[in-house]
Formats: sequence, C-alpha cells, structure tokens
Amino acid sequence: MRPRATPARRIVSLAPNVTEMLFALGAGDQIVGVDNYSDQPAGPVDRIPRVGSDYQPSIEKIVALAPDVVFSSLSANRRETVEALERLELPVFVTDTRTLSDMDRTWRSLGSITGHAGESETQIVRLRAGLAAVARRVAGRSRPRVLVVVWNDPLYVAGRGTFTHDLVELAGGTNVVADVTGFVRYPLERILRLAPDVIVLPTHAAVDQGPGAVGYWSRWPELPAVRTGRVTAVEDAAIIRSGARLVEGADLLSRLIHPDIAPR
Amino acid sequence: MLACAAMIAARTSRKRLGLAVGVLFAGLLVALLLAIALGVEPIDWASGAVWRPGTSEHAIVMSVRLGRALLGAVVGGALAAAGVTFQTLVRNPLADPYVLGVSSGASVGAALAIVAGAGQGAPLALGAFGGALGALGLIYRLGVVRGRLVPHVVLLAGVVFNAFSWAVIVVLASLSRPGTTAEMLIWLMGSLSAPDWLRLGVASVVVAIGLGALIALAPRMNALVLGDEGAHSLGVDVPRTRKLLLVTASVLTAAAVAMAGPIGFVGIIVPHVLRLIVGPDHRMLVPSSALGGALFLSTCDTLTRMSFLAIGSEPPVSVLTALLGGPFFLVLLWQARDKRAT
Repeated sequence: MRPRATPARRIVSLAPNVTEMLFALGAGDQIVGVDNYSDQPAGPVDRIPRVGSDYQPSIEKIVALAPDVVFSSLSANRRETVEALERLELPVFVTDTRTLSDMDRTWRSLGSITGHAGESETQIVRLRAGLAAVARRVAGRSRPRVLVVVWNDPLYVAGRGTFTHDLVELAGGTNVVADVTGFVRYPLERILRLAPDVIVLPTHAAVDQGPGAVGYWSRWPELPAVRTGRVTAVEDAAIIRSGARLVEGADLLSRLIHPDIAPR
Repeated sequence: MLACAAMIAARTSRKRLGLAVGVLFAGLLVALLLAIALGVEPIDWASGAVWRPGTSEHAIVMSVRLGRALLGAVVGGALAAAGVTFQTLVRNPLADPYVLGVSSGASVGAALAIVAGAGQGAPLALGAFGGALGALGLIYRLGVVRGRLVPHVVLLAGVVFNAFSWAVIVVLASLSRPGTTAEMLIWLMGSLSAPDWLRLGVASVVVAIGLGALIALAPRMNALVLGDEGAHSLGVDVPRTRKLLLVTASVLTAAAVAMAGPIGFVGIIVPHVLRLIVGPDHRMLVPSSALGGALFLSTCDTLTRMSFLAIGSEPPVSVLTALLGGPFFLVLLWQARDKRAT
C-alpha cells in the first residue's frame, strides 16, 4: 500500500483481532464493514455491516462499501482475497502479528493509517505496562507446567511461536509443549508423560465440543492437572487472539497458573 | 460319488478357512502388540509401572495405545466387511462405502448433528447411521431399474451423491460459527484417537453383530454372485437378501464413520488382496476381510502415530490409507485394462 497523506475514514476490517484493535484506538466509528467473525467489542461491532467470512469475504460487498483502506491479517485471510481487492485498486493493508514482539508494529500501523497515531502509542505503553505488571507479580514464583489445548479430540496444542505461548510464559508458567511450533496436532501419550499441572481450554473448544470438553480430561486422572481439578475453560479471544485484550489474557492466565494470587 | 466329492471339498474349504482366519488373527495380534509397544514416548517395561493404574506408563499403554489400536481394529474390520458386501451387492470390485456415497451420507448426518450442537456422543452416531442408510436407500433405489440392480448406475449415483454431500457439508460449514466449522472439518478428516471405553464397547458390539450377520449371510452372498436368476434358482430370496445385506453393511459403515470419521480405501484394498489370497468364496472372504481390515487399519494408525517423530505432527490416518490406497486402486484399474486387452 502506498503511504497516504490523510487518515482513512472508511475502513473495512477482515480480521477479528484488527477490528478489536481499531475500536481500542478509537477508530470504531470509521469502520464501515467487518468480517463475520469479528465479535469484539460486543455491542458496537454488531451494528457494523458484515462482509462475509475471513476465508472468503464478499469482494462485491467490500467494493460497495467504498472503503479507503481494507485491513487484513496474514493468518486469518487468504492471499487471493488481498489480490482480488488490489486488482480493484482498493488499498489493502496486511497485518502480520504472530508473537508479542509484533504487537508494537501492528499498533503503530493501524494508528498511523487511521489517524490515531497518538492513541497507538498509548496502547503500546499500556500493553507493556500491563504485561510487566503481570510478569512482576509472578516473578520468583515456581513455574507450573501449563498446557493450552486448542482442540481436544484430535489433540491440537499451542506450541512455541504463538501468542498463547508468550502469554503462558509471561504469566509465570512453563509451556509443556514448547518442543513444537505453532498450533499443531500433538500425541496424547506425550502429554501423559509431560504431566501438566494446569490445562487451559479456550472456550470455543469448550462450547463447540459440547459441555464435556473439560470433563473429557477426567479420563486421565494420572495427570496432575486433572487430579487437582485444574482443567479450566477460558474465553479464547483473550488468550489466542493477537488483539486488544492481551493484558486481560495474561492476567487471566497468571491467576489460573498461580491461584494464590489475590483476586482483583 | 458326487456327495463324497462335495464332502471332501467342504472339508478342504473348512481347513483353508481355518488356516486363513488363523493366520490373519495371528497377524492382527502382532499388529496390536506392535501398536502397544511402539509410540513417541519410550516406556520402561521392566519397572512394571505399565501394570499399575495411576502411572503415566499405564495410561499411555492401556488407554492411549491399546484403546486406539482396538478402535482401529474395530473400524477397519467394519469398513472391510462392508466393502466386501457392497462389492457383492453391486457386482463391481470398485464398490466400497466411500465410493458408493455411504460414508458421505454418514458424514452429512454427522455434520448435521454437529451443527445441532450434539457433540460427539450418541446423536452423532445416530446422525451418521441415518445418513448412511438414507444415502444407500436413495442410491439403491436409483440403481434398481425394472426390478434389476444395474451396477454402473449404482456407482454413478454414488459418485454424484458424494459430490452433492460435499456441497451440503460445505454449506453447513460456511453457515456455522468458526468453532463449529473447525469441529466439522477436523471430524471430516477421518482420524483415530484414544476412545472412551464405553463408546468403544458399544461400537464393538454393533460391529460384532453386523459381522455375525454377514458371516451367516455368506452362502447367500455366494449365490448372489451368480446373478439374480441364478441366485433365485438356488432358492435364495434375492430382494430380501439384498435388503438384509444393505442394512447390515450400512450399520457397519455408520458405526465406523461415527467412531472415526470417513476413512477411505480400507473397504477396497483389503477385500481385493484377500480375494487374491483366499478366493471368491464369501464364507472365507467375509471373515478374512474383517480380520484383514482390522490388521490393516491398526497398522496404518501405528505408522501415523509414529510419524510424529519424523514430521513433528500427526496426520489423520485417512491420509495414510489414501496414500496407500490411491496408487493401489490405479494398479487395479491398470490390471483390469490389461485383462480386457488380451
């Protein structure tokens, strides 16, 4: 995308994390269209026209909204979508936010394109301070072994190189599946051997795999997490999405990993 | 004289049946032992921890490895036996639950159950069964022209139904929430995982009953090979036998699909290999295919589990059966072509 002189006034966001961040920047009322999976912040986002799924949004709808910028995400959207929009001479900005260290860059890009550069710096400071506060709180404590399950059956876990991994480590835990990279299928028998103390299930799994998602793990009382009742479902947006709620996610994880931390 | 010859023939065929079943059963035991012995985690067998409940060794060996190997055996046995039955019914060696659209029907039923939020319990199994039976009923109806089953119409109907089912599933997936879509697509990949014992038990009983029925129907399947008139002249009630076989094979397919998702090629490869080894007699072919299917799928799954060590992730077992089955299928077609040419 060419650098632009004036801030974008008509924005289409094709990724839930970007939508969330735009609202946090105060650019919510510049958004004219979002993808179907953008669900945060609940309420305001529901009043914005939808343009289809992340995977295959309606190009026609996007064009009809006459945006002056379309935000996409490298992980959520396809290259075909970006190319189709560029062929129609719509300015597309592709965000690439894979780990915590990418956050500053994404905040700054979104801020400068939408005319909220000042607010993006505030968000970066808030993110750093918030994460530092969580890190301080868990400093010097033992580091329980944590497993974040993305999917129960077949088993998919959050390995290294994911936000979830960064947040777990920051919140005072040790990610037991740091031997793999990304969200990958993982052998159950190795989990039994690794014996995590805490198992975290992002709620999209808990909801969509039926109410038994937490109960599913009760089949393995050999696991310390199961024996001590520390298998918990949490909202996925806070710990999997690289959005505006990372501090909230880190805080939540730190309390699950260290239950003795005083409640807020 | 004739009676004497028949008796000798019966005795030798019983001996051969015993031999084939014995060898395959021994093979299956070896496959199960390998499935228990092999895995990504080393097991200290000498410590005896494997036998003590509550240890990770016990959970790994008994629950993850043994449970999964048994599930593979049950699913593989069901698919191969269903394959033999479908091949006999439509008198075409390329028929199997996958090709005929029975697996697709079961998948649509299961996808509907997932969309309805039923999770992976009994509703999914019932959905799969309903879908399997519905698909087969429809395809069978189309395939019977003027009271006679026309095999190529059945196969063609199956192919079209597969494409249609896939479209229905994609529509369901795109209308669902992201989590539901993921659940559906993951399930559709067809894979095995450590089952809970109750589900495995129920599926095993269903599959055992189905196999028992097929073994009992094997002499009549032999008669069906002679064609409708031929079978009729031997005193076989052809329409009734067909219905029994259809329902039984659908039940077997549905049980397999409900437990593991759609897994292709087991129903083709295994019966073909065994037809070459034990011959076309269904009294031999049905039990040996069931055992062979069990052996094949549990072995494939052991390889799948072990592949994590090589590639750092575990592909669904259906990928391996397809990688082995695809070329196999093409070789079969090639050989058939050579035969036609000569």
